[in-house]
Amino acid sequence: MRTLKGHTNTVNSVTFSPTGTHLASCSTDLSIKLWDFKTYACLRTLRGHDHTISSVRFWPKPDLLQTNNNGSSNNGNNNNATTSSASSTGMDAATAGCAHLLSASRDCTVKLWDVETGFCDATFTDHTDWVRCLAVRQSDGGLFASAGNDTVIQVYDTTRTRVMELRGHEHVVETLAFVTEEPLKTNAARETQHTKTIRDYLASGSRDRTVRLWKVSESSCIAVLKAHENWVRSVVIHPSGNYIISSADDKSIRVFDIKAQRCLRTLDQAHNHFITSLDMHHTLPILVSGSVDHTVRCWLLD
Amino acid sequence: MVLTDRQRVDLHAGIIEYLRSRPDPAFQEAANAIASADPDAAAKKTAESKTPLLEKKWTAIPRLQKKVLELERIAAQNLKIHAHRAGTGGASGAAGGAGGARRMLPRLPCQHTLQGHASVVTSVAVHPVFTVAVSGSEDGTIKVRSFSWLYLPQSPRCSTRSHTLSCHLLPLTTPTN
Repeated sequence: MRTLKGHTNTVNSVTFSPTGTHLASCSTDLSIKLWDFKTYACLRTLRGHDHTISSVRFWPKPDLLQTNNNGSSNNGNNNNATTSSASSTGMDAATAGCAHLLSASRDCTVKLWDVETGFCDATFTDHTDWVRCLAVRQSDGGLFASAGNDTVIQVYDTTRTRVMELRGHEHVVETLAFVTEEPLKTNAARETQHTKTIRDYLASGSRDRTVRLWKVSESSCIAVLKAHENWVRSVVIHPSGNYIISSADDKSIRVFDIKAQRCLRTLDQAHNHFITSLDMHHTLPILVSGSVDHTVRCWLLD
Repeated sequence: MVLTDRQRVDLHAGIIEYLRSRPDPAFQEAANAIASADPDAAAKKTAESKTPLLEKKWTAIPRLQKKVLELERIAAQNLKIHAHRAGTGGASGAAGGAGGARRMLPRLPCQHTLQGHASVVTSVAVHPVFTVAVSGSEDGTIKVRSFSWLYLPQSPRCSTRSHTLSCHLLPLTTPTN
């Protein structure tokens, strides 16, 4: 068991890169730290936000994945190019599987950072209030969504333009999630109609105690799930695409069935205090939840 | 009356048997009357059992009704379960070869509780490949924990790595409900 120290204030969010080689964490001390997961060393600290940073996510770049699939000569050239230019983070984008990092902050902006150079490439200022959460569509990195205190979910695509706004929540949106998928899934051979439908799903949880399910291609809300008794702090879409697992300040973890649009199972008193976050593995039967009662609980799925 | 001859004979035999079992002479008279009216029924030897045939048949109706209700309830339950299974059968088969029966949903009680943070745990993340999770907290630290209890085969890269992640048994507490 390891402890990574470095932040001087609350760590708000942690996230892995798609290949799992790097970890990013963001904090109320206005910095984002990049860690190497093999050596547990802090590679880089990114500064630039003016206020506390609520969420970070890695953003995989689709064309990077394609070059890894092409012939080795192509790959060799690519690698040479990246290593010759001094990579100041010591971080190779090709191993991490992504070139960018997104961060959402209380200063109402979402920033896009280049992972190798550590510079902020772009700033999105569409939000009018604290941006609390981010979600990236892992499989192709084609979309990302951000939301926060202004109750509107903004969705952007790879060209960094805003694709749509999703309105409907009545209170602060605390969390967003796309389907938990295998990151860097480049094998598109086994795509069924079902996979295509679930890839379209975006789930959001809010302080208005509801979990909403949106269909991104149609910009519409297809379900409003009301079962929690307090702020919904975290949502996760099950890899099968049939369930949404959410946790809230009512100390429970609930499983919602998407087709039936109702709460299927409730794990009451899952923690002794508010549950702040959930995460799930895309294939292993593990669900992890963290809470204000200072503990992290692991749940077996069956 | 929609009875076959055989059924009628059985009915009469049952009636006779029941009447004969009553001690009152009036019943015996009635039994004899029927016996004379229907000699086949009188001749029929009913099976030697504790409860007379007629009483058993009479109480059969509520018994069977209860059974039917019970079976209907079970059938409805199974239908509900199978409706879900039919939906997830295809998808969960793809997700880790778990087979159609597993829905991969969390259940109580929680498997393990990891103590160690000094303050509110603000976020958790699971490693995309290894059985490792990290948690960030208000105390400014990030803790990396591995799931030694899951006993799943870890990637060979993981086991040759630094000693921190190999089988150091973590001080995991058993869940207190």
